[in-house]
Amino acid sequence: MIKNDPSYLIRASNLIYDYGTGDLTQSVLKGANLEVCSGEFVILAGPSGSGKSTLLSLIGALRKIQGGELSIVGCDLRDADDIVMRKIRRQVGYVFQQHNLLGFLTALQNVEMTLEMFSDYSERERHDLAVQTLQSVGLRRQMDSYSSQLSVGQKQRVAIARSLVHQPKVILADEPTASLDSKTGLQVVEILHGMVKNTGCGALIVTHDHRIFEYADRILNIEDGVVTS
Amino acid sequence: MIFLTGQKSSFYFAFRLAWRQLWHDKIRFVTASFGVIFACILVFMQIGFKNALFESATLLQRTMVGDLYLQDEQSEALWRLVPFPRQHLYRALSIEGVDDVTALYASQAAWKNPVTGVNRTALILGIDPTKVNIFPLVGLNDEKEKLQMRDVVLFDSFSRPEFGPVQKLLKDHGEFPVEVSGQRLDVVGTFKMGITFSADGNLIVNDRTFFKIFPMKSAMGVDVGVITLKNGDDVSRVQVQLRHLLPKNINVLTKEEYIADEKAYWNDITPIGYIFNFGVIMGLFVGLVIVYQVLFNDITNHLHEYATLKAMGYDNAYFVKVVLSAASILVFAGFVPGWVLCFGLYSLVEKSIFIEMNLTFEKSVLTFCLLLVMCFISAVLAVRKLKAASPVDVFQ
Ligand SMILES: Nc1ncnc2c1ncn2[C@@H]1O[C@H](COP(=O)(O)OP(=O)(O)OP(=O)(O)O)[C@@H](O)[C@H]1O
Ligand SMILES: [Mg+2]
Repeated sequence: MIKNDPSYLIRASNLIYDYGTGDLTQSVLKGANLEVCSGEFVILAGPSGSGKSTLLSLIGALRKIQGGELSIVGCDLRDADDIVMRKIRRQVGYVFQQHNLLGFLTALQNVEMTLEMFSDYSERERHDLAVQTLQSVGLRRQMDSYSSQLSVGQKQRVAIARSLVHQPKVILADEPTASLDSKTGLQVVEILHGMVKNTGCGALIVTHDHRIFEYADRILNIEDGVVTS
Repeated sequence: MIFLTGQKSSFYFAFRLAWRQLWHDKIRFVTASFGVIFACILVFMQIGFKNALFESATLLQRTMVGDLYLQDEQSEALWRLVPFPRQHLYRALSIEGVDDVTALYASQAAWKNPVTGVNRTALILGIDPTKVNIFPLVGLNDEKEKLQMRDVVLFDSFSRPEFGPVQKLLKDHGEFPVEVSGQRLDVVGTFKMGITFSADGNLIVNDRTFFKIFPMKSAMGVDVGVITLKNGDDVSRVQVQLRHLLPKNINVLTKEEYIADEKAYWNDITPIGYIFNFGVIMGLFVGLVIVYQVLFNDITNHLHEYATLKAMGYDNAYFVKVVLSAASILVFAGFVPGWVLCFGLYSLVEKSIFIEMNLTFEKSVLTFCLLLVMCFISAVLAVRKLKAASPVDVFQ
């Protein structure tokens, strides 16, 4: 049983995850252990097909865990129902490889959508926070542009602003730099890194990109369904 | 609107998102609206036609000023009346509150077009000329003195043009002879009524002339008994008393019942109701398919984005609200221009088929509700696709 220590934002122990059933069963996670504390910038690396995205999706409450224990921001994910899953998703800032911005919304409107899920912001606060966050990713001038008017790197930065605008306790990023050139890729990582150091949240970043490694507090490896440091 | 004031609910945000989505692609928005406009026009026209036909079928019943009506129970419609003994009508006078009774005779006969000589079927109403006031028809009051004369006929100037240029002939030559069911009568004046299911044209004659045209009929047998009550007298009380007084085979009807009876007859023997209801359903179905296409494409094209939003913490209900909002917006976008177009179309139709068409509040509400239901069904069908947007999709 995991203790509810608030400094651990992510605690996974002995996580098991299989795809498929019967003869087609493919074991992806075979007892993975992992911890991320607040203020930590952790990188998860591993060969293709090793289960990095699967692990991230479990931590982001996108899938239900099948075995082992997982607690996110003190919330136990075993037997979590849809409502708990949604609550956790809202506390996590997920940065995907694809930006998936809504094309019919401006950059600002896309970012504001994150805040619209929460009833604690006024119209003004939503606007100001979104502008601030866009500014911090260097896109203040582009805030009224639709995504078709932005470059790939700019879109990815809008997506990051959208994931971070509500100051989540946990940042998860799945190959956030894969579709970017090296310069913008580094920019993006610096934004995530700065966010961790400034707000004390924790970040778990999946990447193959070695230039990012120097930012990491810890680098974890996943192979054969288990995590090693 | 609740979601425009005070605390912004998720409905407000969903509605706004739907609006932004539709508005962003204006060409598609307009196309979708055309689908609803099309359905709207079809529904309005079908309802309008159906209503107009039934209204025209009951034109006479609606214009008569009687409070209660007597008819033999075997009488079916104005053109298929079975007479009942006249003394029953006069017995009604013995009831407290009855002011006057009028015997009305009605039947159909051939009218020979005075110019072409071609026969058309006319509805002929026979009445005591001193009682014509029970028909408050335009022009009739001025002509009622002439109706006292022997062998004269008043002509409905709203009859179909196939009846001949009667009004022009009257103006140019004064009274002129015509042939009705082989009898020579003089047209002495006109009134304005309108065509009904029973006939394409109408004539009014005095009761003596009526029996000359229809020798098999007699003054002893009344087709319709019209009873007027003294001011303020209770219609249902008199109705009950009359039912006790008169034999069972005589129906005592209020004006509403009388109108409903005639409507029911035409509804039963003609496929009008069915045809127009079918038209309404076809219109709605076409609209449904178009709106469904638009909503469905919106969802399919944004499945990844919706999945991402779900991964961020949005729930399915939010997207259901978005789709329902989009459906509602399309209803408005289609209904308003559709209504305006129909306003023009109604008067156009009125001019070409001589049947009154009114774009009433009731018809508008009915059409709006039908369109709303149509769009909501489209939305519900389209929403099923949303379940396919799983937050784990964002990894694929
Ligand atoms: N939805 C799924 N159904 C079945 N098998 C899956 C599914 N998703 C992933 N897998 C399999 O699980 C294994 C781990 O996949 P995962 O996407 O987690 O790997 P990854 O480490 O993220 O790889 P990559 O670096 O290529 O993104 C792979 O062998 C993959 O084929
Ligand atoms: Mg992956």
